[in-house]
Amino acid sequence: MSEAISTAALSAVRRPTNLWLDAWRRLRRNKLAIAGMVLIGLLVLMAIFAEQLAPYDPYQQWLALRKAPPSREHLLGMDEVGRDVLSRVIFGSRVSLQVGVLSVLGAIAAGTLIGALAGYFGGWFDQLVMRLMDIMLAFPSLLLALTIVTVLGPGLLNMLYAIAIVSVPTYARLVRASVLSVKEEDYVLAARAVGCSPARILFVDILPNCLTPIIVQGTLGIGTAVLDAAALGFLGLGAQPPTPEWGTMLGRAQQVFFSAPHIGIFPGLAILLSVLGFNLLGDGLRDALDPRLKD
Amino acid sequence: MIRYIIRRLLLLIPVLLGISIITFALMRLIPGDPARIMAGERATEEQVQRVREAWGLNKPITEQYLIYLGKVVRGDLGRSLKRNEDVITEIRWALPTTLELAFSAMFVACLFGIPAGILAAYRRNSWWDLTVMTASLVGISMPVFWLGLLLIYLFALRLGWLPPSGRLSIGIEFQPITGMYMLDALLRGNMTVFVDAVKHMILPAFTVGTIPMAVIARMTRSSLLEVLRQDYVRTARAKGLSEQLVLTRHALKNAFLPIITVIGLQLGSLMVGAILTETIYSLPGIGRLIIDRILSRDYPVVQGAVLFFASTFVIINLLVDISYAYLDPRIRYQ
Repeated sequence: MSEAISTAALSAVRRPTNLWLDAWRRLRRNKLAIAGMVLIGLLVLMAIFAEQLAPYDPYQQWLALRKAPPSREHLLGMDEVGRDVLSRVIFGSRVSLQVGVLSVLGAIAAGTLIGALAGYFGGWFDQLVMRLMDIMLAFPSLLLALTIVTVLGPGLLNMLYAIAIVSVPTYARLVRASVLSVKEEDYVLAARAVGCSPARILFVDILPNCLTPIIVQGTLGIGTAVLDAAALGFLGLGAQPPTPEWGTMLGRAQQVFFSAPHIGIFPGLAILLSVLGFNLLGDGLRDALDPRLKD
Repeated sequence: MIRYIIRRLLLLIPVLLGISIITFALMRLIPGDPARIMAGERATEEQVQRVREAWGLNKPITEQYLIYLGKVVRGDLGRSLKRNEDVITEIRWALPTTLELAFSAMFVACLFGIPAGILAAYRRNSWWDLTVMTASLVGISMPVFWLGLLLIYLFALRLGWLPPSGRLSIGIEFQPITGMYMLDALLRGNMTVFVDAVKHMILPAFTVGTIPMAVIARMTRSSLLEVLRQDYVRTARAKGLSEQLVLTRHALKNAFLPIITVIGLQLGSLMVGAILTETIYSLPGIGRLIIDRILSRDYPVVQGAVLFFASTFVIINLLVDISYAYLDPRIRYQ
């Protein structure tokens, strides 16, 4: 009886909840985070339904319409070799989103493994691996990516590898720090005492604690990856023409930008809005998942 | 303080060695015979053989690395393939442009970023605060290369206010001293050249400076908000000091430490910005050198320039850390 009353009393004060529900409630109140989610949502929809949304084939050329300005038939105009800019921008979302998500997932997988092992076992392995990560972080990210692309050669896939490799140290450091902070907790000691294997302790007891910083960093990381991919494409070292990739389109448009600015304006705007979306959501997630950090 | 500096200098050594290993590996990982890659595709068999001898390329890999390291320490980064020059000479030619661009960009970033952040913090939740915060969010997400093209289109081609590319107008005769034209013009007291050089630098500086500007504005705002909440600020107000005095004498002084750190941390963004911006504005700096030579497969220059760029980055970061430790003694004892 008394238990029922106290439960009722409690729920009147606050509904029972958990970390994720709590975070979601905070996130929902954050207008900027919502704006970020809308931008990302549009980007994802554009990528999924590119075939249905694009009015034309992104590779088809109308030579007579080279550099044609926006018109009713071609809303964003034509590019330097007579392809529909709108269709290419829409299909470009696929490349950017894939590169962004895949490179971050790869970096998270590798970084988590490295950071977790280094943090858990410590010793010379930790020293060696983390010094290596420090050295990689000593390079500005685009410079290291450039170096890797120089070795692998230009191209979409090589660019993806380069961007993934460059961001591994960030996650390795993050996970190592989290592992170190919970390694000495009583529940880990308990797990060890009942004879759990190191692998079980690491993956079941310790790693879930690192999830929130990884989610925040990963969201922001997709934005950075999209930006770096576009930069490499712009420099002619990423996706190669005729692939509809925003940075590559902008790089190609460079020579004709001043006579036909529409060819470059829209791919650039697409990059800006995508990166903005991931940055807004990442900031929002940080505030929602770790309210202590909020100013 | 001395002990802190020595410890940090010792920690620098493995990082610099690591960077040299990466650039050394760069040349060995490119598919093909390293001697031929270093001598160039059109080199004769004899020239290739000479490179092989000079760099010990028929010796074991560890020995090859030691030979490379020995040469690097003595400033020998190899020969450029595209121009018949030492790599180090090409870097020396390119460096002043990049330095001038980086300094100008940082100047612009601080000039606009810090006051914008101060005003945003001071008028919290006003329309000004909202504008600054929105603009900085957009700024942080800005593709630098796109911004560069837009600025050229608008201010050079449409409005005609500023030149679209290059460092000086054609027809201007000028004997540089350091290679940083704005500085050189002042040293020579030539105002015509100075104005011309500044005009050429405005658009590139804003292009590179936008992201640091946005980050600095955000940091200034949050750092100042934090300080304004402190008890000693309330005390200062309570004893009747004018708002201006509270802000300048009490609040800003303490808010500046995190701002200085964040300025130092923007160095990476400055270098990446330089790589992209120099390409757009045809500025003959180190960033453009790297991109140019990657595309023309002049690998010795790429290797040397990457080594130089990364080492500079690490060393400047160290200087920032040291100055920070100097300003905040707590850091030295961690």
